[in-house]
Amino acid sequence: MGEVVLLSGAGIRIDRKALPPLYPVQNVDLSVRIGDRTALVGESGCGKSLTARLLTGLLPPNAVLDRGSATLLGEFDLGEEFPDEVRGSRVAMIFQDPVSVLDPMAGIGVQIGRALAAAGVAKAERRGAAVDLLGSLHIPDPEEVARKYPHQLSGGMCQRVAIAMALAPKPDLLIADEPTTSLDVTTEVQVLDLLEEYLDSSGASLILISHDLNVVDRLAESVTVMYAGQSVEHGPIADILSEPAHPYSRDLVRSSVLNRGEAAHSIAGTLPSIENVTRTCPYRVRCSEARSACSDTSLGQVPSSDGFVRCLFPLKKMPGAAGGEPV
Amino acid sequence: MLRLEQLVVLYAGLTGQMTANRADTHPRRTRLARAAVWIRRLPLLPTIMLAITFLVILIGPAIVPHDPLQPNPANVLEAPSRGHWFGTNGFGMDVFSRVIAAARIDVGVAVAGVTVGAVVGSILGATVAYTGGWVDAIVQKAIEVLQSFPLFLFALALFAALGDNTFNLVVVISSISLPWYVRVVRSVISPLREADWVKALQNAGASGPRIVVLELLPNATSQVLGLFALSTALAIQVIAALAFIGLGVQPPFPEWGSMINTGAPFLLQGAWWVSTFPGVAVVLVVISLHSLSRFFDAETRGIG
Amino acid sequence: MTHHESPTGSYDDATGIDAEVESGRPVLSVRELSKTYTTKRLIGSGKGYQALSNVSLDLRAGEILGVVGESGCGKSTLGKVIAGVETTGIGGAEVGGQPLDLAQGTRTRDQRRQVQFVYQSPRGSFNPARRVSAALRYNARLAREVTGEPVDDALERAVKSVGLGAQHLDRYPNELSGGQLQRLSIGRALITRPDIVFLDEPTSSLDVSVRGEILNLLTGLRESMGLSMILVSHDLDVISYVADRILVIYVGQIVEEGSASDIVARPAHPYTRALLTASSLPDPAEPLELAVDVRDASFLPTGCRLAPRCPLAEARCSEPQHLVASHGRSVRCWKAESTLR
Repeated sequence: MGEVVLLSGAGIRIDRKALPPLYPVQNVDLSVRIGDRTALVGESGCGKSLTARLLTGLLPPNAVLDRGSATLLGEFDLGEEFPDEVRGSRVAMIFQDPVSVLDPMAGIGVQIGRALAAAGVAKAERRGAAVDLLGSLHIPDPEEVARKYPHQLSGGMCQRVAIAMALAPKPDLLIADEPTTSLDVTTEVQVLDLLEEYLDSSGASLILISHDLNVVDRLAESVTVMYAGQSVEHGPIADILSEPAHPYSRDLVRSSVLNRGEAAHSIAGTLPSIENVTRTCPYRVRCSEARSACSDTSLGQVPSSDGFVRCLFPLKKMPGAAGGEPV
Repeated sequence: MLRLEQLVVLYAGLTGQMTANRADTHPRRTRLARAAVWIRRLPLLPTIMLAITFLVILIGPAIVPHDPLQPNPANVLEAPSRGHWFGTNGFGMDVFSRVIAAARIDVGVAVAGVTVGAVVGSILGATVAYTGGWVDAIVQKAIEVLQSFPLFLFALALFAALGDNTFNLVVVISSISLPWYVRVVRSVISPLREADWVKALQNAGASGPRIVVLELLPNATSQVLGLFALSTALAIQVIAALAFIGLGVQPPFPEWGSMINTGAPFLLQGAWWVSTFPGVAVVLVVISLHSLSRFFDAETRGIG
Repeated sequence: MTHHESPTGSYDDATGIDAEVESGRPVLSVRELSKTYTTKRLIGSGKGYQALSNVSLDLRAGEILGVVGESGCGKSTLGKVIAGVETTGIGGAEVGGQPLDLAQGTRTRDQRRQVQFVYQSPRGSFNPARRVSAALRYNARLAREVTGEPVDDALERAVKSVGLGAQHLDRYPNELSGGQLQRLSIGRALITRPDIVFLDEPTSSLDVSVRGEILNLLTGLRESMGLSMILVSHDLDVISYVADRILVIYVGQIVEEGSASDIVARPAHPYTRALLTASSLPDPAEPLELAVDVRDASFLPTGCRLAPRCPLAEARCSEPQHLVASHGRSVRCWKAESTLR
């Protein structure tokens, strides 16, 4: 198994009753190998969460994989029925809102026990294993926490429990959708450390979905920047933060940095409509580098040795790119 | 007053069909374009049926081929023919003309009654939702008590108490439809009471009645429209049913329910047309209203 | 990349504010403000939760005061009590030397005009069923009694001052972007020519690409009309970028106060150090991460409230800690007091 996740030109269509369909995800290339820690970055409405839902089989019923291909764990074609047996066991997901993930009527120990049962732990050992698992996530007094109910815990603690449940079956692929967005900043650091610790010890792969470049920088090694349903750039995190090739990546990085005394950066204009699939650059209307060719040339990838950019006029020559011509 | 365009925009907003960030240019044109899309999405057959009904109410009596009240002893119980499309009844009156003429009284009284119920009920519902507390609790309990009576029995009892005339028929219809509006509007508005924008309005010194009528109530427009179609259908059924048992509109004045009743004995003689055509009229109008209401309902819940 | 259009409105003819600037008196001063929420019980009195305890602050004219703290620390409550929306507090407050009523719903129209509140969610602050101009009109009528400004003029001035045009007034909220709505929300506050604008997390529900535009607007308003603002956020990056002075709040108490540059350069309180460590700003000289506390949020230690999570806690931390001021800084931590000198 080479790639844990391989999306190639993947697009998702959402059908609506008596209205034209929407194409929130239009063209996403994503390749995650074993042990990779990659992040999907973009603003709200860029299709990153829907992409994550495709990978976990949690698309809404009126959404389908419409174009391109999507392969999970090297063997499952996501254009067909989702392989339920891998969800939770080999592919685990961590959600933004931990409180809604937990069962309000069950104790924490019981809930983690359920996740362990799914992982095949014998009934007699579950309670002990649940407490051990909580302890391994640096939760003080795990015995006490296992006895509590979700409403008795803080949001940060609930997210730890949700992570404990997700990690219980030792998944090969962890998909974390904004795992720290609902948490306090001082808790955020701790939760990110937990995830990192698991990845280090298990060698599992991570897909982190986030709008926050600081969070991504702490956890991921590579980044795929998404805009309007397209993956516009992929590369190592350090390269994208310091020397992005796509104008959108550059603008996003600039807006996330605030320097006192200097005017803050922002991106003018609004997202394009997702009622049509566009083959030209979706960012051209907001892009300061746009030229006339941008509006009438359909767009391909410029690959490089460790990533790609989907731009006719990238801001830098892609290392290892053959000629730099769009393909 | 709400204009159609506003109504449609309101709709789009409620159903989440307009996505943020995407309608930056030409809002007026977008609104009109969306209005057009919305009108195209209306269910075709029910809309045509209701349009015809509306037309019939407006100009029906002027275009009927015969006087609906003119008996003709020479022409009793004539089967449908070129001269009498729906045949004639036991007094030789033209059934087609009577079905057309009855639309005005049946649909007219239903719409009048339901409109009164809708206006009063919606305002009451929005008011108690906004006020909350014991006022809300009392009104809710009162509504529950009212609704615990079977609908038709309640109408019957009220009608018996008030006396048998057309005005009281309107009163009965508005009293049975009012509780629905209170309930529906209250449930839509209640969660909005805590919304930031309501707090902002209060802090800006907006008066309670102003917030209720001008700000909160428009948020329930789609639900009220859906309920309007549904309750008009029910009202037509109640009016026809009351007339069928001899209350409300009296024969020979044309009314669908009483026409079904007076035609019933002739069914045995094979004269099916006297009861059937008014029956079909009731069914068609009621089904059309139901289907329109379902459309509104689906819109509200954002299905599709 | 764009920079915001510079605001055109000004306070030239505003009432009362120029005198304040000259005398150097704070526009707003709050003394010993406390707020306790009580949960309702069927029988007996409910459990009280103290959201704010003895908070005192001064807001100077033309200043942006940043209030930073995590969720549940009471920073939003602070704004709601000061702005007189939703809730009643105990304590004293003065706006421009005049006492401000801290009870809910009893303020005069002029007092409501003086202190304006901008809600966190731009979408939640406008009625989805009405054009945005309808929302702005209420404030224009509130102000008209004092300023005498015609409603339509006030609306036009407000949208211009936030870099939008009159055409935006005619739209419904769902026809505007989050950034535009947040501008309008700020514009709505400016209609009344307020003495103070309280902004509750104005950028946290916006995309990062729009954040800069709102922050530039706020700093622009400070420059162009000398607007005094209190800005609340959980995000130290935002606060330290935009604020002149910073208040750090932990569980209802001010734990540190000082000028923004000073606090970022030399954080004294362990909590401030932890916030700074977690932010994307350069780490403090001594980075600090807080421990995990499993206890219920309503648990309040008698001494320092951070002690259960503080890695530096010692026996003396269980004694009550006082806010000690020195050289324009205040800190509530006996261990940190020495760093101020």
